[in-house]
Amino acid sequence: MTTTAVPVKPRRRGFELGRSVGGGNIHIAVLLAPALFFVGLFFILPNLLNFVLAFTDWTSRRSAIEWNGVDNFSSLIDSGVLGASIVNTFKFAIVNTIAINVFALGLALALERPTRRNVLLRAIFFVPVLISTLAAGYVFASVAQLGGLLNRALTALTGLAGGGPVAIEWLGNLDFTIYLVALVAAWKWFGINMLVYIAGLTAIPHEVVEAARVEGASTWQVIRHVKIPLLAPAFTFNLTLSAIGALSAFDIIVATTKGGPAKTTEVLNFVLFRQMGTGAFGYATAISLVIFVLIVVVAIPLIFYLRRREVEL
Amino acid sequence: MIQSLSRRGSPLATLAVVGALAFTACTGATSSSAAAAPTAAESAAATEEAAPSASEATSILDTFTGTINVLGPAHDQYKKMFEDFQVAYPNIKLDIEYAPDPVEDNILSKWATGERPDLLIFHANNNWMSELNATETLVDLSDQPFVSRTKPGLLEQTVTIEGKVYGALFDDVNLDGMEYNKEVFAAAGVEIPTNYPELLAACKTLRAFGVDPLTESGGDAWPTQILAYLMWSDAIKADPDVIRKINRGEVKWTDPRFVQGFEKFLELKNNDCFNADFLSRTHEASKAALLAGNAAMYPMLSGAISGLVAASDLETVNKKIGFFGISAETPVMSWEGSEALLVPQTGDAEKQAVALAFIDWLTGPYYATYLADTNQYPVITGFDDKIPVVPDALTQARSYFDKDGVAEYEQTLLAAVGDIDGAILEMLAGKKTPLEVAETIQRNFEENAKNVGLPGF
Repeated sequence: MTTTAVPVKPRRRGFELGRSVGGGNIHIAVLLAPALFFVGLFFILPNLLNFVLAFTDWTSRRSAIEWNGVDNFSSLIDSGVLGASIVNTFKFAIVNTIAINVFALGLALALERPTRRNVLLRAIFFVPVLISTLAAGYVFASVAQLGGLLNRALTALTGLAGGGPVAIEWLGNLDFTIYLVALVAAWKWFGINMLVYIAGLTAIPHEVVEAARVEGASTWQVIRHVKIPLLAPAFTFNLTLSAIGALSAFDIIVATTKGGPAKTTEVLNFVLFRQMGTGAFGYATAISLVIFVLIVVVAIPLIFYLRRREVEL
Repeated sequence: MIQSLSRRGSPLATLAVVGALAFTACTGATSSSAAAAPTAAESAAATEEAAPSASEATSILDTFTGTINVLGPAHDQYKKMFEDFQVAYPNIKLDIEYAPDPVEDNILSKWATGERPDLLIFHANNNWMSELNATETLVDLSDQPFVSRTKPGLLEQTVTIEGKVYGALFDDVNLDGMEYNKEVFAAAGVEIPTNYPELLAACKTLRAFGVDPLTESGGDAWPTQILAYLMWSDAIKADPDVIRKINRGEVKWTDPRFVQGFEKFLELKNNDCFNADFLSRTHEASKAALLAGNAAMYPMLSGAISGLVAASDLETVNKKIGFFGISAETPVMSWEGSEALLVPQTGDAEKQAVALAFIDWLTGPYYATYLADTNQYPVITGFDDKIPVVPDALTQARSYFDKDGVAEYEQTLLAAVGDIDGAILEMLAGKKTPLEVAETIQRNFEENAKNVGLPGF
């Protein structure tokens, strides 16, 4: 009997793990297992359940849970709650994402060189990240009261110019309060983005910048045509994380406006919290699903676009 | 979602109404305090009746060793009560979790996850009991000794569902009315209004005098419900069954009797009766404005008078602050249950027995101390000779209630009306009409009635 040698297709590297689990590299499985377990238990499973429970009439008031189709969504749409909170969420997210990255990039460019002064300033600008969001929000809410520090400071300034007292309702304006809160949230978090941009700038080869300068490029031209294009990976990271964070905003709203004035700062997560608090779990999970879908719809195209841009650059 | 009157930031340390009066008043009868109060003999009998059970119950407090989980709002007056219990029974460790504001959202969120403390402190009215799904999740306390010791009529209108008692009252009921600055009223030459037209007239005089006639706290939202509720009291008094008719779907929240409350609210706003920052002012800022005389009136709960005392002192509050009842046509005072001790079904019989014994201890041997510490009127019989000093404003509130009182809608409503203060604030911001506010709460009510399983929804 003869045997025919069968050509063996080389294993792809991706299959190595499966083989190695039983073949000696058990430590990889051991290292992965806890992470997989917790991610599965606390992220994947709840998200899968979210897809199921959003289509039920689950409430705290009854023991039975029954399917109700898209009733939760249609009811939230009919009442106007869903549409209004989506609009509020996007208002917040757009201003917040832009503000965080503008603040962060500006400071990163200013503090790029690791001099002693710059290192100190970086630390100072990073401090808000370390403060509790709730604490920062409560302090801001106090400062922004009608008779608060902000109006008193402005009154002092306008007084120098012969003006009258300033009495702006920073937290009671139907039009701009949500943007103001988005800016406060941006102030709270821009420190992280600043460090990412600084790391990106530090990674730019010195020779490239030098070459541009030798060619006669101005500081602005170097920033515009050399540094910013080479910061593409940092942009991808920062913009994506900022957008996801902003779409999930919650704590800063609780601490500053509690959804007011007249619901103009009620973002999706805040509505979810209140629905959950009143036992309307079906509605709450429906809103949670909307948030999930919104984040996916915004983040995935954003990542694809930014990654493609990185490659093009 | 509900933004209840119970969303209060201040402790219920000083409540003003004797429970028996609450019952007689809300049933439409007018009675005097003396007529409603139990006789000494009745009180003694009630205490005597409870005694054997109390001693039985005390025995498990002596013998049990372990931890009892407690969840409730962070009212200061509870802290000493729990500390005293720990001193009396060091063998029992109380693991107390105080839920921060918004209390309802925080407690119900925990409830939603299946968390069941051994003892729960929560709002004592049908509306909130239905949010807990009380008949399925709480222990029936109907045969407990505190039931016979509690002043007549109170349990029936606060924590009783389908004929079964699910909670123990220990704080007095809350009154809905108007805090006012007596000095400002005197200086402006304004008399206490007794109906809505007089309130509107007083508002104009006070504005001309140079103060904010009314202060509202849109920054905290919950206080903005109260003015609308005040305007409903006459309608509820005229038809004491009207809220039950809503439960049965026979009357809607869009009924003119309720819409008029929102219309009057808007009319007051359009007549410049509120502070300029009514959308963002906080409850604390409203208290400060009232005490300082920058605002003349604040629609509020009697329980919040203690917050004014905490923000200043008793002498200042007695000098400056009064409290009157008012509705659309008459100076009727409405009331609601405050907090109740509830025993969730946990499946642990021994801890459940300890929880029941705790209730017996608080409403029995410890109650005189609790009253003295919290400066309020008793809801338990036999303590009327131990009423501590209370602010004059509470005495004034009680005098209104003695004459004429009505149960606030939450006492008998069986499904939530949703985010009513949010809808009111939208109206004040020009985003909703009074009828649209009513339509919003009707829609929320129908939705919740369906979830609760009310017949006809």
